[in-house]
Amino acid sequence: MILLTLAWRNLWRQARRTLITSSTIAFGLGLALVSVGLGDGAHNQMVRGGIRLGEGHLTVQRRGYLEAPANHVFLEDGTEVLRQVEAAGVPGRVAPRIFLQALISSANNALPGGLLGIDVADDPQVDALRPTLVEGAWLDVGDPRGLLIGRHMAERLKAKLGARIVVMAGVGGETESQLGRVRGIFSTGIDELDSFQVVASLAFGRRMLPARDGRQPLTRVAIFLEDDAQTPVWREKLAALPLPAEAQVLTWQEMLPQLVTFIAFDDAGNYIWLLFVLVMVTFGIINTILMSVLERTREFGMLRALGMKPARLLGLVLAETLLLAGVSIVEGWIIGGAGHWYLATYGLDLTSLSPDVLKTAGVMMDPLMKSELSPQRVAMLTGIVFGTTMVSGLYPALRASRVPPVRALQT
Amino acid sequence: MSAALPGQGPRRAARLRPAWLLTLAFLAWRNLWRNPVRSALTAAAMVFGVTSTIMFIALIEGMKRDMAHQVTDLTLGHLQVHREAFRRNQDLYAVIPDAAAERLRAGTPYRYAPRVYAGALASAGQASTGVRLMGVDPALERRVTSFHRHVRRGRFGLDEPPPAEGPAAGHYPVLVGFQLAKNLRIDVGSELVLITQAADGSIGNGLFRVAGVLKAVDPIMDRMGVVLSMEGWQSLMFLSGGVHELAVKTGDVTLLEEPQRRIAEVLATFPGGEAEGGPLQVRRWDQINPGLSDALALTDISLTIVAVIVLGIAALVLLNTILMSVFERITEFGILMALGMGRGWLMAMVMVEAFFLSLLASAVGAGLGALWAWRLETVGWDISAYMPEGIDWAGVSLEPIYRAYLTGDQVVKGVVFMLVISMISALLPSWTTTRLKPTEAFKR
Repeated sequence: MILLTLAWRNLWRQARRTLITSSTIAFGLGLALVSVGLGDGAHNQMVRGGIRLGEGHLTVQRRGYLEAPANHVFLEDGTEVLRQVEAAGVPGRVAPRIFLQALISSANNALPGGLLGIDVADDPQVDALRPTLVEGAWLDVGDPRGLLIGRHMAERLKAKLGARIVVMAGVGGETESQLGRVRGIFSTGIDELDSFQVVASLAFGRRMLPARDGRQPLTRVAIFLEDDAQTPVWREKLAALPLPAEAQVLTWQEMLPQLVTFIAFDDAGNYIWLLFVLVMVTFGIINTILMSVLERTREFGMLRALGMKPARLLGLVLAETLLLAGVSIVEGWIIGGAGHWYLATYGLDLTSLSPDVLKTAGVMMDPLMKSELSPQRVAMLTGIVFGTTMVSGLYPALRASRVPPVRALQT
Repeated sequence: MSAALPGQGPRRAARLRPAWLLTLAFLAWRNLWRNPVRSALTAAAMVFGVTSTIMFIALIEGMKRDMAHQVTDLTLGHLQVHREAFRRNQDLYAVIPDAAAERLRAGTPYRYAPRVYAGALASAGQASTGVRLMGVDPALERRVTSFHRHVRRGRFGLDEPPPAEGPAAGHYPVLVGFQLAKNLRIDVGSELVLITQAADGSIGNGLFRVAGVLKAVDPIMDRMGVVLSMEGWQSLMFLSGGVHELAVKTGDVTLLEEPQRRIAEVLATFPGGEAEGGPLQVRRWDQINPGLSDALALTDISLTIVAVIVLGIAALVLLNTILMSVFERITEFGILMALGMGRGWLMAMVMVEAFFLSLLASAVGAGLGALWAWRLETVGWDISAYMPEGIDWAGVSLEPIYRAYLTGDQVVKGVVFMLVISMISALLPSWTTTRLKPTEAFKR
């Protein structure tokens, strides 16, 4: 199409101006890519952490626990729930857990804490916690009274390896106390875990919960999927199972609503700031394109006098804007791509500013932020920048096509 | 003005006369408005940049203040005194002797609020959870922190002794964190059972009554906090000889070096061996809560980056505009140079145009920015519809209202920043005017 050829040549007649304008747009796009990439990276990392260190992608627990967590709100027929979930063939790991809010005491001190009873051989928490052991060893399967405590808790209780610990918890009006012994001390770097978490076997946890008619209770069954995207699919499948009436299937979004809100909020903030950038870039573009059109009034008048229809003239200017947008976007991809690659590989290291992992919205936020960009995001941002550029070029194009040839030639 | 023959190269610039400056200014201003649309568009972009920068800075400053205030005014105080062993490990027996507190009160002009802590098991109805007890002296606490006003429902009520009669006879009043109240399903007036491991190793227990539910303080207090009077605490723990913590209030939260030194002097007169639980230590709030200072420093940096980017883009727009306006006036500049206007003057004229435009934009931007920021300061930005429980970040819980804090120097900074960046970006295009040869210019 000769229109495009003309448009391309017109752009480069004023190379310096074209380059400055396209650089402005490219900078805007590059900035958008980097900032969204960092934002997405941080959010995804928080979600993954929340799932991995929390209760998995899906959780089956007693109705009412989510709104008001309490020791007595447990699955009475925990083993039945576990059996059904395992039989459903979930692609991932299934972890039965008991969790009790308790008072942890030694001879020297008493502290609030959380008792987590897990399958010490199989639970995904093992992978997360075992590497962080600084003293002692992981629990043996055949050790009914073994406990693992965090470094801070060990210091506060003045408990060394082998020390006696009493776990006291109230369950439905009754208070249970059980004695345990410290087999290992872990240090995760996450204050919450190091100060409050006590890990024990399921057997230990079961001693604290009343078992009726031989049914073994559980607080929840946590399901860790291999593929995040499968979460909604398996939620439906599990909800369709003939689980006991008291059981409820929840996704991680329902388990971590504070995190979901935080991400939405943070995203919104990011978009508002990008909007600012976009608005200012638009002002700059309109300026340039308008000027380039106005100074060619005589030339356009000539083209009209030679028979070019106004519509084609409009098309010509729009084609120029289109090509400009194309060039700018490629430039923007290069800038943004380079920035994203660097940040995805090395990350933005904020550890010098805050060495500890920050607790935000109920989940840990790593001070080393890595960028993550999905193709959808790139497409969306590119589309927005492209659209904005085209819209900016609309008014100047209309101006160009409207001037009567006689008037134009008089300039 | 001396004439030169063609081909002899650049002429000397004539000597500076004050009247010429005025002419220059007039020329520059008039040049701006020869193309009103373009100047307006460019100014609009810059106004946008300045306004949003000022608003953003004020908002962040407000948030920082809220967080710092939350921490110091609410619970921490300006400084705190602990035994080393308590600070490290929450050692129950590592107390600040009563004699030390007395000596501090006598020897320094600051105010002190004593606190004691312990872990306990709290039960209400069927629900039960581990909690952290905090014992305070209500009268002294009021003089150091604003804790007593931080009650969401009910009232502070810890000054009142337990009622002598009725269903709650002998029950000390307590305050509970809002999340704890939710989890235990209790509210004002509910009964609470507390079981502890007392200082002598025996089991302490008692019945208490909820007098109030607290607003957001920090995640630990919100989820596990139970506040009682000293007597109430002692009825469970029977710890004698001293307290765990003294919260200190001085006259000025920004000048804490001197108070810290004076308090340390007094504390040094008390033995601090291992038997007592280590030396008595006094720390400033930013030493106690470095996570918060770190988070605040982080905000400062991201703020600077954002401001630079936003203003940088505005300056780019200006650069764009000046470049174009220079190119389209090449013929005119050529004529001016042929008539004897020195190169330096041409460049100065373009720079002055840029200066006027950015000055105008900065003034408008500053006005709008200040107005909006002031509105955000007085009315605030209420996001409780989205986050009803507030936000918790870096160990502090914030109520869901963003309040800005506007200071004169923020506005000045924004304006000066814009002007400086604009002038720098105007340098290149205005410098190109000096490279013009008049004869070349005529050819265009």
